[in-house]
Amino acid sequence: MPDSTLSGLRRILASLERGGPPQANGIASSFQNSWLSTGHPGLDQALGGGLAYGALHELFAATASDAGALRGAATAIAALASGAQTGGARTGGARTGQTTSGHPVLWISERMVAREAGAPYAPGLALMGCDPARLVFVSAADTPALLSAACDAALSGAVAAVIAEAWGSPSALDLTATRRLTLAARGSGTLVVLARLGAKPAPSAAETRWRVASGPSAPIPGCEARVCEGRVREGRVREGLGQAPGLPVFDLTLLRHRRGVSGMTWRVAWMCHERKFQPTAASLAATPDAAADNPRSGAPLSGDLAAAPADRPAAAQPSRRVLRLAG
Amino acid sequence: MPLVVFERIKAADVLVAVDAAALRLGLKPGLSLADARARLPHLYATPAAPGADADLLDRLAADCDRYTPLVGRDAPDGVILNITGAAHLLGGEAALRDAVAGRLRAAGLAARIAIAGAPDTARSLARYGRARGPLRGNGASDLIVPEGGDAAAVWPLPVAALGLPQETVTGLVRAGLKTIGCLARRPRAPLAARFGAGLHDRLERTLGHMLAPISPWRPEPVAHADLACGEPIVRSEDIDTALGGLAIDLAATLHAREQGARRVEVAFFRVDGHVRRLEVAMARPSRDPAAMTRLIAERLAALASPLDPGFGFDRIRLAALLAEPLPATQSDLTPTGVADDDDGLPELIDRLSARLGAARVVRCQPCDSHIPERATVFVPATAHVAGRASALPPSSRETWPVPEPDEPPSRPAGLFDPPQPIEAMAPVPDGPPLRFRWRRVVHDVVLAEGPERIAPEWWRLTGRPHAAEPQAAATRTAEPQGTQSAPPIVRRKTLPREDIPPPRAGGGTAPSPLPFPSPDARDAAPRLPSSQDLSPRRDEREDVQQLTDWLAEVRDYYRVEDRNGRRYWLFRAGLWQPGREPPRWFMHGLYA
Repeated sequence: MPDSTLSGLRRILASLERGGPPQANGIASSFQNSWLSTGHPGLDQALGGGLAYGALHELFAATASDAGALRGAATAIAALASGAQTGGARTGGARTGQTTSGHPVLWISERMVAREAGAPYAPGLALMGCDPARLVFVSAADTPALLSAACDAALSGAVAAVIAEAWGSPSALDLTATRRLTLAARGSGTLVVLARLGAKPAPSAAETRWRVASGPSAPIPGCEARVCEGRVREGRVREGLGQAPGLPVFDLTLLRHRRGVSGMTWRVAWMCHERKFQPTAASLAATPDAAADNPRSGAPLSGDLAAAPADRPAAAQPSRRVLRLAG
Repeated sequence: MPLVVFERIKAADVLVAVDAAALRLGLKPGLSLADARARLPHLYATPAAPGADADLLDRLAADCDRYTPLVGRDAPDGVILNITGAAHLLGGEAALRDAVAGRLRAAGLAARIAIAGAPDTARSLARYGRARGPLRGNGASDLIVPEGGDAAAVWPLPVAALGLPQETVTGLVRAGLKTIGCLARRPRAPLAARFGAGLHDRLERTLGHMLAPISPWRPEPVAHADLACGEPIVRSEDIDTALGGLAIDLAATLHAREQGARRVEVAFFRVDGHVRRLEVAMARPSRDPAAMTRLIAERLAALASPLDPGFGFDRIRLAALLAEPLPATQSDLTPTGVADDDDGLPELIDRLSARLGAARVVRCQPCDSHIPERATVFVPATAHVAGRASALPPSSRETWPVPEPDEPPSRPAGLFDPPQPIEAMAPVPDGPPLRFRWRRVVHDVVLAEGPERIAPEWWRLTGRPHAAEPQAAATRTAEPQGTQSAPPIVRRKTLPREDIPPPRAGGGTAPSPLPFPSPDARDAAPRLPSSQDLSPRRDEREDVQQLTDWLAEVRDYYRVEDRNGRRYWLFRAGLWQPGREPPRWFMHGLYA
């Protein structure tokens, strides 16, 4: 029996065990109970394999000026999701599944986000490794329209991922709305990303919550000889020119992880060509590999959607000491 | 009180239309308003409103849609219905005529109705078929021409009934040819030689020997299903029920033809003649009644001005405006097989389009332009190529750029359109900005790459004759250099990095070692001021115009990173030239 059939049967069994009906068809259902690997060993380890499908992930721009980084992180996730392979059930087995040419991703932008951070620009997305032919863009006039479109897409399971860019902290975007999104995503296996600009992290039903900030880019390979690192970083601007900005670099802070530890910060570079996150050279030197000492500890918290403490990690204890050092 | 409508023609108010009472009192169109008032001081006169007339005619045509799907407008005051195969539905031609007449009379309109074998015959009969008596709504029975009696029916009509230009009619009458019968008896060749071939055609059409097509007011639907309600329906539940039934009917018709609808229109005919039409589009052909009903429900729920039933809808029509072949398929027997790649995506697109509007659910297509804001275009996802998303051609010919190993993206992920003006400090003539202020925040630049010169598309510039020449020169000069790594679409003119010189302290005006701008461009530039002197001064124009002008300049793009690690895409519009206003800077996009 081919592996894909086996994993399909496992999915059906898993959904039956949860008490629900067998999942509807749709691209997302083949991702049910699996993870979207980011390619960054530290990130993947901390997340238990990657960003979970069938869950809501929230990204917050650290400041309003980090709109570019927020868009970049969302683009990276869209690129990963649209190019991901199907299969690889969480309940067991190796990643199998057929290789497909790509999966559709729905990209919803609130009008205000397009005004503040610019409209999604397809050639730029393409150069970040995210094929625009896989994307369907939706422009939402306000947050309720954004949420209803995201919910519809998550319920239908027709897209591998939904990227929703929201502006500010409107009352429509409350715990109920995020919980609705979470349930919709869990039912279909869709990866839902809520990218929020101009908002402060607040309790929600999201599986993970991130703070995204821009990081200084790595020098372009081949130009190292001309880097005057110290001078540039000290701000002697005029003499430092001549360097080109390099690959996109983000500072990702895991603020909240419902099934694991949180509080870590990674400085990662997005490899546009290889379509994966990679630790930057600087971050490798600076950050002890905390996650390596910290194999993911057993059972998740009781109840998937327990009320989340907003200010501290909701995880078991063993790794905290090490992580504080890393902080 | 007699009613007349007047219009100002050559500085005189002239009557263009009169009502029956005025006609009885001897007033005629063409009389001046002053004369008419002299005869009848208590006249009620109102100015003509051609726009309102056209609107009324549209509404009339829309309402006549209920009798037959093929309705043509006969401006300015007629409607032509093709009732072939439709008359029996109302019990014959006479019954149909009575129904139309009754409906128009109820709406307060006086109308004449004629039914004949050819549209032009009926048209002539309706307009000239009776003595010039008072207009009456109830057309007489002689205006239904029996089969084959077209020529005989129009025989006694005056030649004006042919609908020819006034001078032709005058010429014919002067020649003693007063009726269509006189004309029809005569040999055609001399008539055509004297009055042109148009006369011959009109005559043939009016006599019913030649059929002129009716140009339909609205495209004829591929298939439609109608529900005539004996009792007008008002409640939304009833409307939903009616739509459900109509969708099943329409699906059956489409199924028989092995077609699927791409665009479906639902028309609500209100009792008072108002017609509300809604349209839903589908990303791929479908004849699933449930899907159609769901989309229409979404569309109804999303209406800005909700459906107003008034005194009720007495007819609802569901029509497929556009259909494509959709062969019957065997339904899949495996319950949860391997998921299809784009399973459900068209349905999702349809649903979102119906709720948010088709223009808000879009896909991107590359365009052949190296102006960044024109390099891509959004097309509605429902209008996109029908079929599977995985099989979508990227475009007809263009393709997206692909990332190269270890190469940062040269285009930002977010683009401002229009670009946002910023204040920037940069070495002249074409150094990268050292510091810039955007949204009231000052950014210090630590890393920069550029310039990437993008020349405007001079063939698009209109109304700026003086601008075309120098910019064409810039295009020419910019082409040959620095294009080694040019991707297919966007012409990149980024300098090789090794060639970026150390910055000049203070930013002097010394000749630049950069290949840009090349000497040719410099030579071309000084020609600008002379032609500028002739044009109006910049500060006299409006700000918007100024911005547009700047955006039509040649642009030098820089990729910069500020001290906080944020990456921006800036450009300088125009070249720096001594003695001229310094070029302006714009923020065009945010990099990740």
